[in-house]
Amino acid sequence: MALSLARATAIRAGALDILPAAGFALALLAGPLLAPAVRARLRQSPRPSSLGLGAVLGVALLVPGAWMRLHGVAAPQSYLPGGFALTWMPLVALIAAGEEVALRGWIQPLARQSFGPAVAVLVTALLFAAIHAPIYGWIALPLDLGVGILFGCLREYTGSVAACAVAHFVVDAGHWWLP
Amino acid sequence: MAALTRGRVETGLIAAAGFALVIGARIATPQAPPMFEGAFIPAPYKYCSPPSNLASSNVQPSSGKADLQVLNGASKLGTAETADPGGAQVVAFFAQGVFKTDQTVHLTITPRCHDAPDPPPHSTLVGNDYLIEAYTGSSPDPANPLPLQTPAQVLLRAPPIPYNTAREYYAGAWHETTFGAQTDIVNLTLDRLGDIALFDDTSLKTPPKAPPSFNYTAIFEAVLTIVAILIVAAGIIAQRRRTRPAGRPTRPGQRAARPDGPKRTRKDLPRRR
Repeated sequence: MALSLARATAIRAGALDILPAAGFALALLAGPLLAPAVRARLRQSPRPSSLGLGAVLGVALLVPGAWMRLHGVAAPQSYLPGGFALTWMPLVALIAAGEEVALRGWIQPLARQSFGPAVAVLVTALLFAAIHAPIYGWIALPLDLGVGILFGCLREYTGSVAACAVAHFVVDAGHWWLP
Repeated sequence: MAALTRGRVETGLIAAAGFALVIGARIATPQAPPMFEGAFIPAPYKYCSPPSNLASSNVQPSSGKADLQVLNGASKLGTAETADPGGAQVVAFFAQGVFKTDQTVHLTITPRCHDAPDPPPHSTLVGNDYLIEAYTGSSPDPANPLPLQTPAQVLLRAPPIPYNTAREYYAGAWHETTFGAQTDIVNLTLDRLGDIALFDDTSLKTPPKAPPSFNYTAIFEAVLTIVAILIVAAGIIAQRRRTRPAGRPTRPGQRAARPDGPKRTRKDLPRRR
């Protein structure tokens, strides 16, 4: 959360978002990886079917946005020109991986140990929505909460953090290319 | 096995709720940005009449148009936005049934760079005047605009210049309108369509303010939310620890305390990681 606030602060102070975003993602990745339990979880190779399910969920989450665009309902788009997309994609992947490692790879298992899977999914989704609020605004909170719940369920169903990262990346990257 | 099945059912129900939340949120708040971790670097404001120091780099604002389809005599949900490169400066949201008509509703948003209505007394126009029109025929009829059945929401971008009010122009006069500012975006609620603009009105008690470059309210609310979540989580953990039987092992492989052994205090309990 502090990292997200710092990123939002830097953006609103006029910094080009590449540096704050990269710092945000790297810190999110580095912090949880200090925990041996997280490193152990990430050493397990994900099953191809889990990754496929992540990709399917990512595409499914693009459908409402695509449907709205096709029916003339515009959503705010990134101010970044389209030409930046290719250079931005690796950063999007890094951010998605960082958030998933921190939330679904570290916090969700901890919460599951204490409260069980259902509460763990909800708590992690709340955190997921909260860390996006400084950047997207509170109006995006319900949407991000819903997306966070689905990523949490994917983590519970597949047991894979990588599947969540794939889904997250597909959603993030896909919205750049919607018509 | 039953626990496993119950867990799967719970996860499935939560996933269904998540999908419902996503779809509901997209429909209820179409103006909410979707996830894309994109850079929110504001493009420069596009002025009709830029300040002298921005004249060389200024790009003229663009207009926009869209159509609203109709179903059973009412318009369907839709938006219209200006086609400014780098991001629209005006986005208008029309809920389902805003217009009662049997024909497709055409929407236009036009920056009035040359023929804007004169500002009201004591007022200076801040940014651009935009004319929002809706019509069903081949061209708009300013004398008979389509009435709104429910208010329309408009997001109007504000330049980094102090302003203290937002107004809409119809029936030959400027009218105050409900508005709320979020950083450089002003949210207006329109009961009628017409011109919209921001003003610095020296006769008003509210001092003019430039759009904040930093959203303190959102940060404050975010911190409060996190603190609340942490307090609730800490309370639940504390309650669970208090109600756990003293001799119950907390981890697989850990031996239970002897029932006839010395009474254990909280300090003796193994710490959970």
